[in-house]
Amino acid sequence: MDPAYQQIIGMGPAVLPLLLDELAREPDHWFWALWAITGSDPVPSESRGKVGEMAQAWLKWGQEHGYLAEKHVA
Amino acid sequence: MSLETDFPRLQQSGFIEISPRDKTYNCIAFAVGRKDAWWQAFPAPGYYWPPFVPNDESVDALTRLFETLGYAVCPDGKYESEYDKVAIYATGSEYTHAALQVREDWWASKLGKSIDIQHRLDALEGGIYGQVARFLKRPKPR
Repeated sequence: MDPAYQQIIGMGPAVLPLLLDELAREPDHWFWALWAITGSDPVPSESRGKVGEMAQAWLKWGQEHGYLAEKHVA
Repeated sequence: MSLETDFPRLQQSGFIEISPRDKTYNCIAFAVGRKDAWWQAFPAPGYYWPPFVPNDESVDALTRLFETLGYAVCPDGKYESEYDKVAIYATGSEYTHAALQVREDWWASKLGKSIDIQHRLDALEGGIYGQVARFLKRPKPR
């Protein structure tokens, strides 16, 4: 794993708002970090591997857990 | 991903860019004909991996995935017009990449989140994908 990516995971929950904001701006592969930090798996089975839908699932999770403003969720 | 540093043989070997960067599908999805999802054996939840295929990053697990699609292990990547062939790249026992044969001496690959290309098989060796470790083939659909 990329050392920079490992560093992000090492920052723990404090980095979640930034990761989720980034995910809202442009869906990308932050899912490993989100899972590693939170231990959560909000992606429904029918959305697995579909990056846009995975991002939406995490944004919804972020909103429900107070890490993200509601405006980001489609 | 930097093509020059990640695949040191690629520029000299030559390649054809087929489509632009796309974060939504990867080499495995591409090799099985899908561009709607990211297929990855990974301990992290969220990615797609077919059921009944071992969820690990071994060459054997990826071999099993292709076997479920009608492929069988074969000895080489020599072009056979009546067969589809895939090549599995690996470092050690872990798969890193899969490429699909498109014609004699030419293969198609999606490079992670980057572009998809057509290339010679050895053009992706010697870098982050390691070496070709296994070939599989199946009869082309009639």
